[in-house]
Amino acid sequence: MTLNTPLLWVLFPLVIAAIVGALYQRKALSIILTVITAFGLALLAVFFPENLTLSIGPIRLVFSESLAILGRQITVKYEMLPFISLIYAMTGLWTLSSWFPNTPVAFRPISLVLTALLTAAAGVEPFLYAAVLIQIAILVSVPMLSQGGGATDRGILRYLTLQTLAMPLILLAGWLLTGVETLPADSPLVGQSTILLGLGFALWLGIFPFHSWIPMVAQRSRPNVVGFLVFLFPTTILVFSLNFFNRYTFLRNLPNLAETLQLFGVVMIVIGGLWTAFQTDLKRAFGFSVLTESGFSLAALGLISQGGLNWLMLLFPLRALGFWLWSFALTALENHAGELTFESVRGIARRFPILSVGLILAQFSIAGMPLLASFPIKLALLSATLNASTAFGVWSFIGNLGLFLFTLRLLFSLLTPEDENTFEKWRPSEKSNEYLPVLIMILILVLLGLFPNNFMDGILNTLTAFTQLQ
Amino acid sequence: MAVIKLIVGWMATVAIGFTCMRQQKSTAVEESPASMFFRAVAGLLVILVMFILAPGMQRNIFPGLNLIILQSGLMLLGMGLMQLGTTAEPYLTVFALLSLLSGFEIIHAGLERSSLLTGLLVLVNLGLALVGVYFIGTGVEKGTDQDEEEVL
Repeated sequence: MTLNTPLLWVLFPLVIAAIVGALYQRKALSIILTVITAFGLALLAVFFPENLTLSIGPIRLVFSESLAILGRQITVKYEMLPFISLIYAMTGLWTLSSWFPNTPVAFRPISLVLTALLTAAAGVEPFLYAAVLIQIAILVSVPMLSQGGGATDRGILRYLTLQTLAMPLILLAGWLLTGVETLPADSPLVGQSTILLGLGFALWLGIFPFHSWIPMVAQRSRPNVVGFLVFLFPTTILVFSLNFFNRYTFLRNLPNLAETLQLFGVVMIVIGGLWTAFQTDLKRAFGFSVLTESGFSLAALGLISQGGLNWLMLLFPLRALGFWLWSFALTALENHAGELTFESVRGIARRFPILSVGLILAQFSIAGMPLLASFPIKLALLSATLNASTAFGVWSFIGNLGLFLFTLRLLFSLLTPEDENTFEKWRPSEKSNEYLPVLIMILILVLLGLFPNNFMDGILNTLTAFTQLQ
Repeated sequence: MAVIKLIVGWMATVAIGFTCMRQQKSTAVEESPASMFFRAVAGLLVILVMFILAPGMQRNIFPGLNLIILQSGLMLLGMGLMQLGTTAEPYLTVFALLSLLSGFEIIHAGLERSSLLTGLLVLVNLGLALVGVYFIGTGVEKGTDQDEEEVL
């Protein structure tokens, strides 16, 4: 019996998403179904045999890597399975956090649809068709961003507009690129296609000056939904962008491309870091720190000749876990405090100490605090940026300090009692389903910080799919 | 292929139009004459600019594309962009995006023919229309000054 891998990681989750969507009123059942599907597919991706043959007792299932649709193909290569495993595992984790009240009911089915569509986008041939699949995923994601079916936020409108503008640019760039391979490097088409590609990716990734929707959406939508969105889309789009570097030699050899990517990376780190440092709204600060993380991704891409791709890939799971803990703690605290400003969370650590510790450590981990998960990679990236350019290195360091500063301000606010003149007792009142996930994730972040080489090597195998980038 | 686009266009506009009517939302009555005049002049300027740019673009970027196709595509693209920049109403934003995508599709159809791409773009158009319907159903929040000031 011959099956194919896209059937497993693209069509199957879409079918489950339809069932979960139909069961939206049965919260527990829909959570269980989504989480089991997502984790099941993640585990299957981890343990899938290289010869693509599954033997279950007497049954032997032989898989092919491609599914043909209207003359085009969706391919899920064996080399891409570590990455697919990561995005499905994180989908499972994020949907696990959807038991919080006020999480949009559409979040669970939509999260599965998004992961399936982006998996297809990562493997569609010709790969430019991915632009349309990503656009469809963007359209599907809109309902989950509206909080409790309330009025549409202007940030969501801006998100939809800016993301939609990217698709035509990428498709036009794709058309131009078909002729570029045979042209000399000084042909005007090279410049035109590079500009279109650059603009398209800048819009998709929310690169300055197209970043304004990120803090707006982060402020108004549920933190767990935003966390999922800002992990899944940029991560998949960055992996998709590697296709271009892999396929087009002229892009790899383009003079000043590395410096330009580093420049935009540093600009994003500085903008994100400085704005994070002075925020008083915790959700908005989360949005701005996403800009800093996009900056680090761009800086890693700019350092491609110094091994930047390894750092880029290693940052994905560490960032995902940090964002998950951050958004989980924010969602839980929002349920207790109502708003998430410095004023409203003042002294809240005395009632919710573990959630508060989770929030602080998640932020420190993302910022690259020693002994926490992101530290080894952030240190390597900052050192390489400093070696490449002293100015870039110093500014990246300053930008990265923004999140440290914000976290220290937040820590002070969380610990200061509401009434500074009276002594307030510590009365922990978290439920087990709030503090257990936080404690487990803190342990994971510490372990990853202490033993970075033991857990993270698998994700690097994804790079073997891009043969020209080895 | 063209018939599919026509049918999808109808479906999209009917879905948004009927939802607007049910919600009794009409911005036309709220718009001042000065604002309408500004939009009309800006629209004419955009059309003029696109007609001026089109021959140069045809020569340098799209040599195989018919000039009329390029002009009509650019005109819709420009109008869509102009509308995106001058409105914050959700359904007008969606109409602007649909106009912009139509302009792009006209140009792209002249460059490359693919049934799968046409099918996927049909899905995008329908998806945008459904998002428009969703926006109209939920309404739009009035933003605060902070939103604009703090995002740079």
